[in-house]
Amino acid sequence: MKFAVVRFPGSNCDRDLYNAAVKVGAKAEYVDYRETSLDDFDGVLIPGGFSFGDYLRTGAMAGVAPITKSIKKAADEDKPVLGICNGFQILTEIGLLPGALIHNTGHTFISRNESLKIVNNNTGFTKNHAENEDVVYPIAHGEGCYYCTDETYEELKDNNQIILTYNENPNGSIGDIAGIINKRGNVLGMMPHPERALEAVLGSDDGLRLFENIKSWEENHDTVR
Amino acid sequence: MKKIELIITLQTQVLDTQGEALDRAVKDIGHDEISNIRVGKVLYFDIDETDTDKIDEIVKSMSERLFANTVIETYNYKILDEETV
Amino acid sequence: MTQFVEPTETDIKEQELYKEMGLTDAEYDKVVSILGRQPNYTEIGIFSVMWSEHCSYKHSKPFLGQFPTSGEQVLMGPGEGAGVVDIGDNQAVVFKVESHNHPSAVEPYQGAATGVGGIVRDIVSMGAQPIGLLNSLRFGELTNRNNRRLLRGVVSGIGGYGNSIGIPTVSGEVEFDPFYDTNPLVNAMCVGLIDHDKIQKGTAKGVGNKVVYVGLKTGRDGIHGASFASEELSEDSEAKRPSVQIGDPFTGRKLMEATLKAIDMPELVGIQDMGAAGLTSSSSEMAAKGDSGITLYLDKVPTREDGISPYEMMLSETQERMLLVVEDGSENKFLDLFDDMELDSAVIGEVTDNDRLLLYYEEDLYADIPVQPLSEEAPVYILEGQEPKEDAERGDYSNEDLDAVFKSLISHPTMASKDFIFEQYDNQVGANTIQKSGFGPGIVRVEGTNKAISMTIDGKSRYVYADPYNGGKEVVAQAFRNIIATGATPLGMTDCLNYGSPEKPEIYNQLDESTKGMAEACRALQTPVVSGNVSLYNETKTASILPTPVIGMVGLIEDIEFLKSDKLSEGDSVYLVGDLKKQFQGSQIEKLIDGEIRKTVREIDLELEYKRGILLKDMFVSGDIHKIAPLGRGGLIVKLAQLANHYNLGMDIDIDVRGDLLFSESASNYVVVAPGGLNIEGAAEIGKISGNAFKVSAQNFNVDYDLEEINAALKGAIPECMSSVD
Repeated sequence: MKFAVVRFPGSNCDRDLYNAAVKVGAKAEYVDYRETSLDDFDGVLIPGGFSFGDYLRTGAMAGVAPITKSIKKAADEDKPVLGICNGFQILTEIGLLPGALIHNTGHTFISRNESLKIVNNNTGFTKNHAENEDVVYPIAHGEGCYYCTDETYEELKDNNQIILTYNENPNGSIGDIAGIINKRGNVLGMMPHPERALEAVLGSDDGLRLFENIKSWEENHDTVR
Repeated sequence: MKKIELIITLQTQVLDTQGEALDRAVKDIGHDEISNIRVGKVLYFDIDETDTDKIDEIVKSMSERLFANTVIETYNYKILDEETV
Repeated sequence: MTQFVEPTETDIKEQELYKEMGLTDAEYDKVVSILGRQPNYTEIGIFSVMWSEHCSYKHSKPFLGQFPTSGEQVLMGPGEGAGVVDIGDNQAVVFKVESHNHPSAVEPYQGAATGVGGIVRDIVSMGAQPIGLLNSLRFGELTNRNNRRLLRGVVSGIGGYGNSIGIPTVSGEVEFDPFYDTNPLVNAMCVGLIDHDKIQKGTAKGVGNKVVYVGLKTGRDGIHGASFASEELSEDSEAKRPSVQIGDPFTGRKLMEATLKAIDMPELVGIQDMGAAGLTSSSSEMAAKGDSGITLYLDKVPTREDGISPYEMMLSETQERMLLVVEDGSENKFLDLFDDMELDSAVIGEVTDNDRLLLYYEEDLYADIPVQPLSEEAPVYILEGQEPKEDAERGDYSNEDLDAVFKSLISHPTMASKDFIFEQYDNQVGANTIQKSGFGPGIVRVEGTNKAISMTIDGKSRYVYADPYNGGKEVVAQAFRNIIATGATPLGMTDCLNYGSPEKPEIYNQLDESTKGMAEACRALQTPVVSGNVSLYNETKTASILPTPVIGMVGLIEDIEFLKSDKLSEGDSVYLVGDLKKQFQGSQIEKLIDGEIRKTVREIDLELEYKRGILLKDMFVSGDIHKIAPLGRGGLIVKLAQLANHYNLGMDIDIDVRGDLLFSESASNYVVVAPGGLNIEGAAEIGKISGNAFKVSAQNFNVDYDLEEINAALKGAIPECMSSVD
């Protein structure tokens, strides 16, 4: 399994995400946002950070970058696409996931370890978690409040697209949403940082299984389909 | 060449946390007569085009592709007087 | 010279324009004698910034000379962008603290943000990858609306820059005291990691080598910022708003990545951040260090708007810029790299052998200044200090309502939980943070190894005011205690000296005595000073701030194995290491009840300090003890409450001392948590971790609260203040 870690100017969790992929035994390579093909890769990781300084709107300029078309293509080809934090914001900007991320209701940046629930363990990303299992991942964002219309929210619920919820909503997200998946089940966006939760000495190793899951993507994704 | 003023605001049903914070601040200062503050963005740019239909097409296309996120934001624009360019 | 309309040499002299730039008559005369003629406008501007306190340390140099700056582990002491200390295996840490007090008072968000940006560039320009940020903040009390505004702005500025550039903010300290009303202190520290063979110097050598500019285009930002930072704050400061520079963390991050790539290129000769006094200090300091001259062609400098004069260009403090000297012929390699990183860059000059800083704009010569005198012959002032009158001592508070004192102290923002602040900083980006802001130093693992770096920042200004000499020792000792409490061996320190006007005899005395004490402590605790910064004239119309030396200290943890489990648990015993002496001068109980600081002698035994610290550290590393917590503001009882809150564990403490001594702030004391019956030198077992209550009893004083109540007081204090309306 070889992952592309897409790098935009201002990305700052690219190295953490690269290290996470390598840690579970996958291959990883950085790919510049000016590239136009991801055909050589089996999966795409979009890191957190402040792509293009978060200027204009989080994820806005990354959303029109040359690499975007290839990310969409990879998603169409059923490859796993994981966007974390700013990566989630970018996935909503380019329309691979519904809704948008807006300012936290408290209007301050929040950085802390957050208790979360894996509400759908029947995906290629979450397969080896128990249903409704509690996990701790760090969060670190100013604009992580998930927003969508009531109609979209109902749809997300009906299709089991809500993957991860906050046990104590820190940012005002609709339905405590921390992470959602597309209908097809291969594009996951989440605000919390599983790549920062890979070792107990750093506070939590709950993120490890998510990366182990996508390392064996074919197998895991197939069994849930 | 025309100068464009493009105003982007959050859609009315979307919570505007900056606006809420300002609402509170304004009341702190003692101005109860001000309410419903909504914070937006304004972009000024020049456009090398004079035909208003074409300008409309370009501005709308760019607004939907990049300048605004139509999931949460609305936009409208004005063509400013030519002298200002 | 027809392009720019500027005052003439005669105007400068006759209208004494140099005074507006902060130069005295005598300093002007010295410039005339160095040049052998009257300086023009560009030249006098350059001298005024290079000879400002901020760049020349003209009032503080003699004091800084006392500090020990060498040691086996020190690879590079003060003089470069930051100090460098060996951590073994060809790796080293680079660190420095810097103040951004004045800009933060005027525009808190940008002042703090650019403070973080500046210290990051100092570390990066040494060739190091930043791994941790810390900050030390001081404000007036949060009951005042302006102080709340300043706190809100500063905290979001630190987060706004640090979070975006992607360096974790792993520790900090925050104090609220009326002495900082309208003059907040914002000191930012950065720690970086480097391989020995990558260490860079800010030097310009090799005739014909090219000077390369990279980063944001130059605008008219912060002109005279360096001399602004060396003035007292007055009502006029409001009108000086254009002096505030704007930080751009997005460009800052690109510049950081580009710089670290440039450092891998063998053709790089020298590099320096364009910080205070921008192009002036970077070019002249590099030339001075390289024993060379520099010629700049200022029309080549990328600018944000037309018509920026050489004077403005040399003094601009536009952020996110670096100056490089590269081998002749290699310049295009560097320009290509910067192009690829989407940064503006240009070749703006070259190194010469004529020992002069020559500035051309197109054909015209705008400045011709000998390099060495500009940076070496800055005036040094040695003034007379005056010792303050000693106050009568108060050694007994046992008749006060101590329960009320306890409740007030744990509800005061200085002692309360800082989660409201620290949660606005990304503590964990980089995924190496072992211990983050909240309780004690930050601990960051050295990626790919089992080592970790422990880093702290601390200040104890009330002690320094009470007794500058011993208070000076105490601030260094406090940082030392913090570091050993993490199981780390202290390696070295950096200092930021925040004081009032040195021209006032009592302030000069504070500087003199406290630096003497600090120097002694550095020797006794084996923590050489490798970098530092001075911020004087922290004054408002009515008062000076408290003398506030802030110490940043770094320690090494050889193997993180012992940190892998948090061993604190129900049934563990609590020990007091040290004696609670009747030492209340500079304490929080004195602040609360008397509202003044008594100037009387504070006691501290540095030999005991070192011995005790190293002993406890070794016991912690070997696993004999589970937690070390140095006592601080509010004394023993406040530390116990903070511990109970942090670990959410009850306490049952019984100690046979006079009740008010639980609030004593005497030196060298610790709380230690360990299994019962342990023999620790100088320690007494005073109780257990137990249940859900916080119980402490002493002679004639006891408290018994639900843990919930303690938690609510400590956690709620700052959010409550911040949501109050007046």
